[in-house]
Amino acid sequence: MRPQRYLFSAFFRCLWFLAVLLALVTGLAHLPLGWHSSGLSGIAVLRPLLYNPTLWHYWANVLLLVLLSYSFVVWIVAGRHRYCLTFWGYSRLALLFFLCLTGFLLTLHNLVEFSLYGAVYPIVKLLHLAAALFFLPLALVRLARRGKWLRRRTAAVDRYARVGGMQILSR
Amino acid sequence: MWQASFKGRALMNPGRRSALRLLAGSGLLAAVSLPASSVGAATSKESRPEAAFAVVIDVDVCDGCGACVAACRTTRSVQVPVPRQPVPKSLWSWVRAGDWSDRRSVDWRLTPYNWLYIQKCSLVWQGRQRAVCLPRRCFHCLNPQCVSLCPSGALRQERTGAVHASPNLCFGAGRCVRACPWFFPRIQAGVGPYLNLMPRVLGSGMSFKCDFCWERTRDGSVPACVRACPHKAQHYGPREEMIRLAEKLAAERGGEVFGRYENGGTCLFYVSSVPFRHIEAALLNQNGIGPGKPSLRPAGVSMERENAMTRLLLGAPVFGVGLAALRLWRDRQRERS
Repeated sequence: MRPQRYLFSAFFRCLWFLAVLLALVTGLAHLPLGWHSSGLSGIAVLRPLLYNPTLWHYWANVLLLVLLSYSFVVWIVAGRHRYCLTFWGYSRLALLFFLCLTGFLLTLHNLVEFSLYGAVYPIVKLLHLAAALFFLPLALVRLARRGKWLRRRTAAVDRYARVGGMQILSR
Repeated sequence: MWQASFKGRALMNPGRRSALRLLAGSGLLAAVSLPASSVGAATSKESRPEAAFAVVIDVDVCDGCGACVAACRTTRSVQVPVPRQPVPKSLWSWVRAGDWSDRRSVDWRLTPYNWLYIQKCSLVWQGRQRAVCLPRRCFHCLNPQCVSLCPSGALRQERTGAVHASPNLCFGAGRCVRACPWFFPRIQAGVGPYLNLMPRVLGSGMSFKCDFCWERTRDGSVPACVRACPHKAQHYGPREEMIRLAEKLAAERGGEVFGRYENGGTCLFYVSSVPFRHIEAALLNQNGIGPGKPSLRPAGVSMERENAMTRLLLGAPVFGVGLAALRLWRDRQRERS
């Protein structure tokens, strides 16, 4: 059997890139700048995204949630003994987690049966925006092929992890 | 043995474990540490209808005297600030925000300085000439998409049903105007926090519309327009009571109610013995509908397309876990083979 070189395939990484890009573009299209720039003739291709960004943001988030949960389970089960999260990985994971939490509340607010009243709603919305604005440079860093999510464990740590794992299993 | 190995593993990589614990803990903390007011704030719109208030406007009784308009102008819309002159010109040539500060006296349409106006038309109904007067202002929808789509979170909804804009957060993006099925919000250029940031890039003013006298209604008072009505054409009270009143008035006259189901439900009901589609047609014929003069067109459920995707959003992680399980099972099968 050919040994697996990467934890996630190129197809997965391509999908992940597209999902993050779409989520960021549609999310930032909610801002006044995105709204105003929807009139620029040079970005006619992006106009549907900019005119109705919420719907596209939902689609991007569906894709992102599928990939996020998939990668999390695969990493926990198959990859955590061989790979560990880097500082960049932790930062992105924390921000994604926070974005999911606030995004979930915003999604609930959009429903007819549920509402966040008074100042709570703007606070949640602005926290979501702040997390997205922090996430943007981290995504750009990865786009520049820097700041990897995962790094391989060293051989010693890897062996130690295997031994520990065996001990737990043998108990 | 198990304890030793567990400790060894914990010592081996304390950073990852502590960070994951921190992540899980922060989620738990975020859920638990929401202040009591916000937990109370997250309530169902339908299960606590007593919290929302509404206004019934009896179109058959209203004679268009304009007392409500005058009351609104003197109590609420007078608070609209004077714009900075000259008004900064936007970098985006297609962004147009009008300056109404030199036309403050206009009361025949909605403007940033006039949040309520009397929409008038005449028509023949059941062989009789009728003059119809409709005091027009924001409906204060139960699920307002202007609030959901406001980019800066300036628009918010109160428990009373009032939808109003915070003057500290509104950048006049104008999305609320497009989001509203009746285009109620109006933008005034040269006012708002954007002037202190990037006036040419960020925004174009501030959005103004009827705020349901939200500070008064929060304290249990009646909105200024309702109090000022000399003919008792406007009634104010808990939404459920107002629905019953509107239905009763409509049934007595064989008329209609407008506003109960529009945009998923609102806090303003018009009752008229003349069908609203006839009033709409008469308004169209007599140039009663246009910029600042909203139509009476029915609107579907707010955020319907987005909300239809909620199940998909909630099911997405489950699908991802299923895919992961499939991939892991496939990997194990390959290893065995």
